[in-house]
Amino acid sequence: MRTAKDFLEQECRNLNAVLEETLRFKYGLDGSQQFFEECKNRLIFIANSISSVPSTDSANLRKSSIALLELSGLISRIERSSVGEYSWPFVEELKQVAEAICTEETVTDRNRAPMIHVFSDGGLDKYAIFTEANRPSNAGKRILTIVFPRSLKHFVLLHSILGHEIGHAMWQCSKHQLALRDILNTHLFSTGTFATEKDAAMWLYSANAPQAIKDQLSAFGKSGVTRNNFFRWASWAAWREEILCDLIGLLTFGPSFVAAECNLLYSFDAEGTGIGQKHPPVGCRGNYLLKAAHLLGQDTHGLTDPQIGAAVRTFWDGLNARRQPSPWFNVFTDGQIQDTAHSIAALLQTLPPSCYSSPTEVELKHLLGQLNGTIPPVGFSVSSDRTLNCQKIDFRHILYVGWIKSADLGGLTFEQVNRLCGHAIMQQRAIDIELEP
Amino acid sequence: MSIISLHYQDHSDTLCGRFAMLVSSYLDSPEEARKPGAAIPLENLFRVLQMYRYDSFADERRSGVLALEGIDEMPSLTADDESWHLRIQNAMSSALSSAFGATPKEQAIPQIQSTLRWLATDKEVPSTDVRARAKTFLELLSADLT
Repeated sequence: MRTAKDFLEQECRNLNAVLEETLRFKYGLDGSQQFFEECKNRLIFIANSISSVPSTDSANLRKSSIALLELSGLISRIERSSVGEYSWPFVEELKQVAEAICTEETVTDRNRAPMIHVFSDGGLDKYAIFTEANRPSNAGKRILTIVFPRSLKHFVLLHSILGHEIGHAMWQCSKHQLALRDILNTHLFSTGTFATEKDAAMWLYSANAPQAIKDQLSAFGKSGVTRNNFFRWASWAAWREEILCDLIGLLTFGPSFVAAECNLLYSFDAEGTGIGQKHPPVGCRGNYLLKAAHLLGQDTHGLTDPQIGAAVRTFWDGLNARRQPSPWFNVFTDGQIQDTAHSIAALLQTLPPSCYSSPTEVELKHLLGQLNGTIPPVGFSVSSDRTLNCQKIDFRHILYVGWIKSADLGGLTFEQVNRLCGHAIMQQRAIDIELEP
Repeated sequence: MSIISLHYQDHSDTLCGRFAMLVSSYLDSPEEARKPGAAIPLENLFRVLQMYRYDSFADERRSGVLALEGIDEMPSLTADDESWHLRIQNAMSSALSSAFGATPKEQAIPQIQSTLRWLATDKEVPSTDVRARAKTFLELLSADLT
């Protein structure tokens, strides 16, 4: 009879063979050498751990077996990232934002950009950026995994929702976490409805809550969840983090994030009243995001061109129609939202190019004009004297213009607008290369 | 259906203790710190020191922004995993106080980290005094957590 230790040692050899077969040789755009080395280091450490304990030490062998499972899952996910069923141009732009935010001091490097791998999976609910835990583990260098829904390969406008996930990745960086926690404690959670978890529970169970909320809480009550223990079921820390990530999404991706989040969240929860363990109700999230966008001036450009002004207004009117009219959904004051947003923006501005800035009217007019003519909206034009003009355009402005167009499709479909914007981001990368000194 | 279900238990504290023990042994034989696999304890300890320095221990894994939270499932009260770090934090405070006295953590931790960096890269050798204090810190941390 083979012992557990025999099996685990065999599995180490198996995993080493898998590693050699899958990650040793270059594939994909970025190659896999750094992933290979990291996984190899992890495997050697786990194998050493197994060989150092006696066959009878079942507790430590079990820990190593779980570590092996995690490593085999990671190798398999990295291998799948070579399939590439997602928008490559968008990923390249997203990586630049993620690297700016998630660069950390490590034992070998004072400024190490994260190792990032990307893959697609399933449908709508798969959007995610997973960071490996900071706590002690068998991981050396941390790997950032970005997941796109396979079904949404060509829908770059919706990908803006990953701004929220960038927020989680930022929160996981120790240095940023300290600064962000200070901002939240000073500006967002110091007073009012969400000052403490007790205050939040009082608000949730208040008499003026919508009937749908009351009905859910009543059903929860049958399982023993009450106002007094609500945040033993739900996580107050998670609620706070999710709110922070919504604001970081807005500040990194701008209006396209608001549009993606409102569209996608309400597609799951049409009334905006669903209560989650990890998230406050969708209606609250939509309301504070729309308010924050307004307070940041993202919905007002002081536009002089009536045609552009009308298109932008149509877009924002459509989003504002999602606003929940009941004041119960407004959990923060304007001052709280404004001070928090400005403080986070100040932090992001030290991490270029992560902070979103609004396009000029000239840019908007140029990009929207191209999209109206069924042309990918990029920083390129031909003058009347046939001179070719190239200019740098932020990919988030392309996404914003795509959303503006989506509010009044004018004969195009939503998918076609997405495809044009996806092509635009790719073409803009070529233009940017041309513009490099 | 999976053939077995195992309850995952957090072992961060004992793992941290083991990393401290290993790195402490690297100080006696620095060449061991440059062997394959040694990067794991060095990177981990460096990271935990960063968390301690910035008092930033929140690292719960969050699901994706649109991940469903068991729609139509009835809730049940469960203990959370947000206090995983308390034993490590206390052990670090105690070891730091013993090894560095009244030196503020903002000054003491970079000294330990510089020792880890030297072990990992074989560059920028810290002073004998800094290495001795780092060794004391690691031994105390290991003893407390294992």
